[in-house]
Amino acid sequence: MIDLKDINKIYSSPGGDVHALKSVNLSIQKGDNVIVIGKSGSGKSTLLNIISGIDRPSSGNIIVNQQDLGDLKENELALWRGKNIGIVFQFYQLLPSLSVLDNVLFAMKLVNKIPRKLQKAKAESYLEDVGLASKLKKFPNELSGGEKQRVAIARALANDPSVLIADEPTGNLDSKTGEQINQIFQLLNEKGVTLITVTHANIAGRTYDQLVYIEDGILSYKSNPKVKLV
Amino acid sequence: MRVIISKLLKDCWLSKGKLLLMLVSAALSAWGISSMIYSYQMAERDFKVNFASTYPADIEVLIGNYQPGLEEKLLADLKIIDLERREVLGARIKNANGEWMPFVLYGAEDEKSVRLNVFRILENRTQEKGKILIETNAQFFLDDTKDSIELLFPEGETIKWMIGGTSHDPRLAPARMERAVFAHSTSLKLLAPHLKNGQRRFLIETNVSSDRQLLEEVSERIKKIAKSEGSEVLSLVIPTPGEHIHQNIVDGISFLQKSMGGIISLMGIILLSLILLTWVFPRISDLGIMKAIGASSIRLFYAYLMVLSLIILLGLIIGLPLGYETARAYNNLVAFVQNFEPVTDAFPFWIHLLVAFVAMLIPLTFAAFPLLKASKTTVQQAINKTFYLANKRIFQFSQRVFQDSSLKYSLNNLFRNSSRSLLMLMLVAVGLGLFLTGANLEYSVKKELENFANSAKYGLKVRFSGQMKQEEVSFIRDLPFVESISAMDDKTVHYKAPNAFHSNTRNLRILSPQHEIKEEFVLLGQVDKSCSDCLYISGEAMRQEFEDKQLGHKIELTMPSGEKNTFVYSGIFKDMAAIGSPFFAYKTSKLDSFTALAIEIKSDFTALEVTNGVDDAFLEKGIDVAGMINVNTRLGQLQGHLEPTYLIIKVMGLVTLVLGLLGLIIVLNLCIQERTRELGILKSLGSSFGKMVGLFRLEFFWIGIGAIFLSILLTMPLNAALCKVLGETVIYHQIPPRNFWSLIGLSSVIFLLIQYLLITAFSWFRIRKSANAMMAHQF
Repeated sequence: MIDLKDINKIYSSPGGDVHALKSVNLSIQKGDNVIVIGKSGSGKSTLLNIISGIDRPSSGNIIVNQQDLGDLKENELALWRGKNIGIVFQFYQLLPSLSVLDNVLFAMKLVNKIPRKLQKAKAESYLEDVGLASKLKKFPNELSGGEKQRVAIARALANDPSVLIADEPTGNLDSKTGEQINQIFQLLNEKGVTLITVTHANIAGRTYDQLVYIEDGILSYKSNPKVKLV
Repeated sequence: MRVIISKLLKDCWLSKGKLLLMLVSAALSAWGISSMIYSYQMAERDFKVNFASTYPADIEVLIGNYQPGLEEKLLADLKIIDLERREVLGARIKNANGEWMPFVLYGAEDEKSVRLNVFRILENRTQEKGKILIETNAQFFLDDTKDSIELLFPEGETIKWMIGGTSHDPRLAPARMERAVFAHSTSLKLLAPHLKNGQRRFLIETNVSSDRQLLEEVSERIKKIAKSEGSEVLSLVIPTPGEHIHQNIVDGISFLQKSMGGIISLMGIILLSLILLTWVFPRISDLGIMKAIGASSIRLFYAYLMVLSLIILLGLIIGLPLGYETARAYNNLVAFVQNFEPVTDAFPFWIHLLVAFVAMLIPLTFAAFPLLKASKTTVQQAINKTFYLANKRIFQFSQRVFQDSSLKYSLNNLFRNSSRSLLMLMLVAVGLGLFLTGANLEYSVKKELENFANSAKYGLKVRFSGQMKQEEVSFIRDLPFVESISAMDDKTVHYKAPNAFHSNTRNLRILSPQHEIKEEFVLLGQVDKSCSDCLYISGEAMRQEFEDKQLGHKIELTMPSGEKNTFVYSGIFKDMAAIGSPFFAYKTSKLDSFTALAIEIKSDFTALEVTNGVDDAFLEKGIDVAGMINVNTRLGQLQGHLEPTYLIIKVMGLVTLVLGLLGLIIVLNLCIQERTRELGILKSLGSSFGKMVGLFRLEFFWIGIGAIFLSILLTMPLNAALCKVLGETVIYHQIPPRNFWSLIGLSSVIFLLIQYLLITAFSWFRIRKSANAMMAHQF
């Protein structure tokens, strides 16, 4: 489903070129639960940027659902991302001037993948799934951190993406709330959503299909399908 | 504090674009403020040098049955300190295009003895003692290849005079505005054959020139002295002390100039405040940090104030010369209206210092508010960047009213900083409102004059030099373009309006019984042709003079014979083409003798054709015509007086609008800066740049729509007020305010289109940059 072939990413900086990703090859199958771990500055963000089409590789190809992202222009790439990729950020990144429901609806409206008539019902249903049915009209500043992250998940799911990318989704939450969020991700993955999660947190007790470890831009470890770490 | 200032200066240098905008805004405010002060100084100086130096006479008197020795008797009065003979002669002259124009000649006894109402000789082509000097601004009408002028006198005599040079008298109305040729003569020798026997005109200087009441008393004594010497005072005029003939128009222009200066400075100050916000906002967290490590609010405030002072000081370098030049341009216009020669000498240095001080103090005072607000931000607020709080009420309102999330997003965003949005709304609305006011005012006046011209029964009025008989003019009825004629007898009458300090002089126009006044032109009362003592007034000035009078009250008029006649106040007529707003009265029997004729024109002919035709017909019959005016020309003159006013208001509006649009761009820039994070989110959610631009467009569309709505609300009372002022001072009749809806619609569409293009172009450039920058650090 997602194929990264010999990906290199080089950033130019006043201090010289920075080789953020070096000859990365990675294959993720539909429905996989992938956990990416690595130290700060190891290249995790660059990897996620490349997979989601936010950034382009300096060389190599990335093919998602038979679509070579290198063939897409800037706006086509944005539209593709909206339709195919859901992103959950560490700091929720909700739109503060829109209500909970509108944050989700707005994401739908941007790409119009979901028929207009169904958008509202579907957004309400996603919010119900994450336990926010009673807070549809609330604004982000009226929610707790955990609730905001749930809205962010509902929004990421708004366009029925085949891939959900989560960047430190529990990094800003207490352990109990973080656990609840992880359960939601788990549930989504069980429903067939491909899940790529970057985390610093302890992954003990989490199930995964692949565990990717990055160090200095090199994928040094890929592992073991459906292994539950203990 | 030095270290904070040093940091702020570095910050300024790092944001060169904003620094430039701040300089522009500071220059704008300096421009507006300095233009007002300079303009005031220039106007004062021009007035002193031009008008005051002519030694204007306090009283102008026309004596009939002059007896030698009268001058000595008058000078014996303790209040009269000087007296000089100055005759006035009226004739007609053909201009370079062959059209007849009024010619007014002021004759002094001797060029060396001109002491009052002084005129300057600019060009002296001959050494002869007595010569005709054409007023310099009137040369425009004459054929410059000819060295002589040909005049037609009221008696029908044609005379050719050599042009002896040019003169200038700032007390006269500008020739181009009055559409008349003025001239001076340095001797009465040439005028003598055309002066009426026994009549003499004197200019009188008193030692009570600023006291109207005392001048009235002197006037009464002049009448008594003249009577005791066997003469009579035919007319006596006390010009308003210290006022030019076109003071009302000048006051209007000055008002507009002050308004424009005020608006420009206000715009500059608002823009400066807005840019300061954009400058301070990204540094809110810096503020928090500085406070956390020991900087007090007051130190931060003063440091910002110092930097702001420096910026305003730099703005002065650009703004002050601009203000000077703008004031010069305005004062040139005022000088033109007053027939002045603007003084171009440099001002003393202290005036520039004063202007600089005021131009610095005002923006500093206003622009200090955002700085004060920023410096008072708490460490917590600053670090969390919660300086801008969301407006929950608006959020809830949009939640209820709109279904579409894009609409909600754009409207809610607009009110994330309500005061800033409101400021922007006001800025744009004032600009658009002023522009629309200029257009509406022009439309209101034009429509009113057009309506009058279309409805007026008599399209042409002819004034004769003396009394005429019906049989002498009956041939006019047979002219192919004449529908009907109506005789009118104009008499100069004196009256004292209720509450007036002094008596006034106007014409009493006695109408023949067949003269028709259309019902729509009877503003008050009813026409009663069978009533010979019914008196009707006309014009706004007279309406105000007699506002305490009720219909049926008595009005006493002193007839030319000195006899006092009592009339019954019976109504108000509207006659916009009548010069000087006369009284009207009907004669119940046929008017045997008359001084003027109203001519109804057949619909197939133009007023100009008929004017020329009638003129030729009278010339052929040897009848002396003193003046002829058709409705269109008269209304054109009135319209011409207002052209500068329309222009100034429209320019003022456009300048404000341009500044408003500049303000919009600044706010847009600030919004994009504030929402960089959100733009990154939108992009990560799949939004194209086009859609993001669309969201900003929608947000600013609300401001545009709001501004249009507000501007229409603003233009209505403003237009009504200006119609009232100009109706009273220039047109002399009420002008009902009208809205030029098609232009309002077109202007609104054009404005929205310009705003659309500006927002699209600017946000496309900025969002692309911001969103990419944000996305690069997304994860």
